[in-house]
Formats: sequence, C-alpha cells, structure tokens
Amino acid sequence: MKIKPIFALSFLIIFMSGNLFAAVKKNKQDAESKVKVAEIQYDQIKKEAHDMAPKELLSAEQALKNAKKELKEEEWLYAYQEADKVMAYLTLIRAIIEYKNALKEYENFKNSQ
Amino acid sequence: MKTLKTASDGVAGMQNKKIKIIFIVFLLFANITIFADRKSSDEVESEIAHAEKMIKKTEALKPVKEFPYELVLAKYYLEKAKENLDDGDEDIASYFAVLSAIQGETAYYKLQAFDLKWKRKEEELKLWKSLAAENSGEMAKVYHKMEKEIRQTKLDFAVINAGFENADNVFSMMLKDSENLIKITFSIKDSGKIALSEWFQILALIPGIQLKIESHTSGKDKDNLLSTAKGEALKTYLIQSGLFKPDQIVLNAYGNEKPLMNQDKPVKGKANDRIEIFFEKEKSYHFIFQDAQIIKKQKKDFIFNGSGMILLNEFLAIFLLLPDPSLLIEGHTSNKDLENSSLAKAVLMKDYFIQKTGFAPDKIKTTGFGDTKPLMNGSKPVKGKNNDRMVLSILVKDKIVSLLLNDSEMIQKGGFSARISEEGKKNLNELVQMIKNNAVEKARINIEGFTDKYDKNNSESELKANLIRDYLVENGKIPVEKTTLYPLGNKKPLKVDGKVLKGVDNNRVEVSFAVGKKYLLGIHDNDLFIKKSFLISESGKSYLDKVHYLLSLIPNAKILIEGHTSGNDKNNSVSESKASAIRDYFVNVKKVSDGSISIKAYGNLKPIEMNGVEKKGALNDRVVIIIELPKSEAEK
Repeated sequence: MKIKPIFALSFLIIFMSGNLFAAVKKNKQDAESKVKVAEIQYDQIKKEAHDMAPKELLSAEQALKNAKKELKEEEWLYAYQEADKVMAYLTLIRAIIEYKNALKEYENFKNSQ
Repeated sequence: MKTLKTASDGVAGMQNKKIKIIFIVFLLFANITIFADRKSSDEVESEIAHAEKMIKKTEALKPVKEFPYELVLAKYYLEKAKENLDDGDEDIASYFAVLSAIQGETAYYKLQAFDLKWKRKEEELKLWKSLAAENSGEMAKVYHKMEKEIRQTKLDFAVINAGFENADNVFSMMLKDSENLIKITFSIKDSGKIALSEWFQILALIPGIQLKIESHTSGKDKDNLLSTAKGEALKTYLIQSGLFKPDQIVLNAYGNEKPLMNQDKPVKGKANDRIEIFFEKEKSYHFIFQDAQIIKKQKKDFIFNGSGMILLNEFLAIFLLLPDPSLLIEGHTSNKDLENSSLAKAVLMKDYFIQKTGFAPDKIKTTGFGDTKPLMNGSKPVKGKNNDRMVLSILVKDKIVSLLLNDSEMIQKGGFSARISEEGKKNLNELVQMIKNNAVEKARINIEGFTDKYDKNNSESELKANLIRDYLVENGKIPVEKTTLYPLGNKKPLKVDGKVLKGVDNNRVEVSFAVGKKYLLGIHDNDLFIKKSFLISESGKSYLDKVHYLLSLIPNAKILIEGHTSGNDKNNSVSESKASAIRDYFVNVKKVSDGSISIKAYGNLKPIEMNGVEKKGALNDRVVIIIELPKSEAEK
C-alpha cells in the first residue's frame, strides 16, 4: 500500500509538534521581561542575602548569568526557564531569611528569660 | 498487499521519492532536536532524586499533608519532571526537577519559621500564664482573654494576607469550579490545592473553627446531586488534610437556586459553577486594658506597673510581627477629665512603645476621650472604675484607596502588607489592554504615588508606585525600563473645582502614558457602548469619567476623539457616530467646553499596529481619545 504524502506529512507534523511546542511557547518579549524582573528582584535582595543565605544567592546569581547568556543566544525558552529558577531561588532566600530572623528572635527570647 | 507495522516499516516500503526526501529532512530535524538537549538522563535522575529528598525532609516536619503551598508546588513540579523524563525531554525534566527541589526547600524553611514564631508565642503565653497564676484569679482571667485575643489577631492577619472577602465578621472565599476541580471527577486540581493550602495556614491558627461550604451549579441540578457531590469532594479533601473534623464542616448544596448577583440581577452562565466557603470571626482586634491592670498614679504622673509591662510586652510581640503596622491609642476615664489625664495616659503608652521598639511616632495616634465614651452594656453605659481604661486598636485600613485616574481602588494595604486588590488588578489589566490596543508599547508609563499625609522620604508613595510597576511588568509585560516612578507623597493633592481636597482620597496611584506630548487612550467598543447602539454603557461611563478626571488636571487641554471600525464603514458614518457620542457625553454630562473637543472618523483606515504588524478583526472597533497638552504642560 502506498502512503499518500499528505499522511506522511501529517505524521511528521504531529510527531514533531511535541518537541517544537515547548520551544515556541515563550517568545522574546516573555523571556526578556522575565529576566528583567528576576534581575530587579535579585538586586533588591542581594545585600541582605549575602550574609543570610550566601549559598542560595550564588545559585540565584548563576541562574541569572545563565538566563542572560541564553538571552544573548536568543534561546527564549531556556532564558525564561533560567529566570524562573532565579525567582524560585529568591523565594527560597526570603524563606531562609524569615527562618533565621525567627530563630534569632526565639533565641533572644529564651536568653532574656 | 503490504501491511504497515511500524513507522519505519512503512517508510521502507515507500516508493515515492518526495516522501523519502521529507523523511530525510525529518531525520535531520529530529537529530538536531535530540542533540540540542543539554542534559543527560542520569543528571536529571539525580536532580529528581534530590527533589524527592527535599520533599521528604519537609514532610517529616509536619503531619499535615500538602502544607504549605510551596510543598504542593514541589510535588507538582516533581510529577512534571518525571513525566518529561519519561517522554525523553531531559531539558524540561531538569528544569522542573530543579524547581521542585527549590520549592521543597522553601517549604521546609517556611514551616520552620512558622513553627518557631508560634513556639515563641506559646512560650510567652506559658510564661504569662504562670505569672498570672502566681498573682490572683483576676490575672488568670486576663490571661485567658489575652490568649483569645492573640489567636483572633493572628487569624485576622492571616485572612487579610490570603485575600478573603470580608463583610462584618464573616469571611468568605469563592472557588470557581474551572480553577479548582477536575471536570466530571470532582477531584481537586493542583491549582485548587494551592488555593486551599492558603486556608490551612489560616485555619490551623484557630482549632475548632466552624466552616460553612455552599456548593452551586450553573445549570439545573436534579435533587442537588451535582452540587452535593462537589461540596462533598471539598469536604472530604479538607478532612483528609488532617486539620478538620467532619463536625466542623457544614455543607449546603443549592444547585442553581442561588446564582451570583450583579447589581441585583442574577448572573447567568458558567460563572455560577462555584463553591463558596464561609467562616465567622468572633471580633475585631481591639485590646482593652483597664487602668488597674497596667498603670498606677504617682503624684500627678502615670507609670506602668509590673503586670502592665508584661501585658504591653505581650502586645508588642504581636504588634512587631506585622509589617508596617499603625496604632491608635485611646485614653478613657470614669470621671470628668479635668486634667486631661486620658490623653496623658495615651501619650505615656505611645512613649513606651516608641522607646521599646523605635517605632515611627507618626504611626501611633493618641486620643483622650475623658468620660465621653463609656463602656456599653447593650445600649446602657456602664458606670464606675471599669471606664478607666485604654483601648489599643491596630489600624487595619480596609483599603488604602488608591486611584488610577482617580476612581479605582488599586491597592489593598490589608493593614500590613500592601498588595493590589482584585478590583485594582482588573483596572490594571484594562490599562495594559489600553496600552496594547493603542500600540504605544514604546511610550513611557508614568506611575505616580501619592499619600494624604506627610510621607517621610516618600517611602509609602514609592512602595505603592513600585507595587503597581511590578504588576505591570510581570503581568502586563510592560518593559520595566519604560516605566518611571514618581513618589510624590502629599505634594500634589487632588483638586475639585480648583479647591484642594483633603483626606484619604489623596491616597492614590496615578498611571499615565504619553506619546510625545499627548495622552492617548484607546477604549474598545465593548467597554464603551451598549451592544448594537451608540449609547454609552455603565463601564463606558466609568472609563470616560477617568478621562475627564485626567482632563481636570490639565487646564486648557485639547481633546481629539477618533472613531475606528474593524470593517468597511460607508462614509465613515459609524465611526463618526461613535466619536460624536463620546463628545456629547463630555460636553453635556461632564460640562467640558465644546470648543476644546474635536472629532475624527477613520472607519477602518487606521487599524491597530503592534510590533509593526497591522491587527485585523474586532480589536479595531474602538475609540481613541487623544489629550493634547497645552504648550506649558507639555514642556513640564
């Protein structure tokens, strides 16, 4: 049985769409604004995080570098994902700061007894 | 006849050259895609293992499942990572695995912080209890009252942060089926679990709280079977979470008997597929301290006694947990207050707080009422020494009314953390749409923050303006470098008929965007006109009122109203009618001088352009209002 070209093409399109979908999902504008927001938030927390969560700050910094590199290479999806990681690290940093402050307050309270 | 078993069998049998070529191209493409992946499956597997470890570590902290919501996210991402790894997409799998591990760890620290704060509070209460027991029965009573107040106060802060609707003391939250339930099965979606986990954090604070669940449908629901099933699903989930006992939840299923209402009219359609959750809070948080509990008089001065110090420190401990609180201290007396001692008491307390906490004096207000506001027992005033008291209210401004072009509520500063209200988000989304409709992405967006009172270093106005900017950048994809913040404090109060307006109405944020020396606002027909007419709808009036407010700020401004259509507009009659209707509204209703308004009808000649591409379709049915600044304003 001969396969009609139209079927073969449909097959290819369906097969490839899974791989391609993720790649076209984020465009330049999405990626750039995400990276920008991540960078602003990173700058805001940098000083405080330096002492409180240095390891996580480094991870965030690395992800931010990666995001910028991906932007340069016009890999919008990867840039977006790396910026997403930065934001997640920043949430983690905030949680660590909150925890350390709570711990400090608790210890002060105990010592004052 | 050959039978096609697999794709490769089929390809081997292909005779057609074209197909061969296509297949070669496909193979090349597939190879590129495969080799473009940058993570090996071993690496991803170890990332997944790490994420699983984090989740387990967090779960070990708390017996309650899926608390807090970062843990829900961590699990969700973990599943995604595994799915993508199975599908052979290592890069995406790695991305989700990393996110899962980070969220798992975040949940771990959040839980630890929450537990520590709570532990400290419990220990303070224990200490206070033992002190009370050592003293007298009266003090023990005070302790119990304090404990209740503290728990209620914590609840209040939590509900404000979680964005509950509040009417009197009843709090409610609406959960839309489409966002929370998986169709047909009534299982709760991950997004629903995330929303519900916010609840866990709140309700964990009040053991024994009573919940009322109302379940509704949009269509007919025979014997309320469907709505009962939905409600039961939620009830079961809440019970399984470990925080509720069945007798704490009352379920009412209504079918379509109680549709949503919009200005007394029932709303139709899918929006009615919803579940509403209610609970009632006992009271708001006023702390009443009888003088006998806290102060004594030494000659003419007041000083705090020992138990007073403990009480106030307890109060301060809660107070300082809150970001940006403000406080009202009232002094009251039982007799006529000839020496103004009610104010003196309040000031004493204010000074104590400032000295203890370094709290900004302008955040604490004091008032002396003398005997003008006695305690009430029902409608009767209470007499006697009990009126010698102080009342401390933590100020929760239900909404710091901030205005976008003067009449939209933008920010809810739920007392303690400023955030954009739902109404505000709606307005900002509209603004983003306006900006996009007009293709003015290249224009600068000016965001001005104002306050009604002196704003030291303009910090509050900057905070508000920043909040709006973050929202526009994150949700509206407005490039951050295109925005400019102007924190102006109380330097530019509103004016009505040339007179300066005082009061809370000045708490506002104004967002404007200008193209050159013009303000340009595009409003879609759907937002302006009643369907198939040139009559201005209620939402349209609200837009135009905003524009009118803007006009009132710019004396001698000229207005150009452009009418546009998506389809052919013979003799431009439709676009002209639209522009005329808007002009008439300004002239007849808003009393804007006719001479300052001109209109232009374009038909479909000037479609919306975005990124250099002309947009087609109904998007173009719009009116554009251009406000041209007089020369002096423009130069400013």
